[in-house]
Amino acid sequence: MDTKMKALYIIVNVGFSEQVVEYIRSQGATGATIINARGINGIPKDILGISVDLEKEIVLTLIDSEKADKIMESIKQNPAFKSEAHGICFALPVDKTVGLN
Amino acid sequence: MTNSIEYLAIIAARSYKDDLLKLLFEMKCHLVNVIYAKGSVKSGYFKDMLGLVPEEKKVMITCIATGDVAGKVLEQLISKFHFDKPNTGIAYTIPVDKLSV
Repeated sequence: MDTKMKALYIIVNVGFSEQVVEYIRSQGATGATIINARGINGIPKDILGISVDLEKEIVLTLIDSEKADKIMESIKQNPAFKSEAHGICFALPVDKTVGLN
Repeated sequence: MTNSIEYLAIIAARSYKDDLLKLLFEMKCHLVNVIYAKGSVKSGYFKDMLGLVPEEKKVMITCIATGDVAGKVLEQLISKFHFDKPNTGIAYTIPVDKLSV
């Protein structure tokens, strides 16, 4: 069960998760899980006492280390991630997995 | 690895939620969190309308456990929940470096 896999977390603005899923699928990922989240930056926005947060989506996938590195590199190169999607990406080392065929 | 601390994440269909939580509490896992998520399954319009797509709604349950407990939970996920079969669920562990309680 011990693996050389990475849990890849890609955080993008809401609406961009499907594009990300399509891309990581093309890179060999079998599936992904999408989690709704909200982002908070340094200066909190406040309109009439109501805080306005940025809607985000987290795309989580388990993938081989080499493929994870490749995806992270291409995300860094992709200009869309720097502009509209505001994507950030990080990978965590996975110890053991169950259910990956 | 028995003294290690692991971050355990389980992603499965929402119908498994209660049974998975019961298992985690029985195994004395700590900091159990339940997050609603969705799968990345792609479906055509008609299949979607007819309800012929596999369950898209998922639940992600995360917790902190010691290495041996996490191992036992993963074993139980195979024996009780049949995570070794496709379309059931996945689980993984990430090593925790430091923990402050």
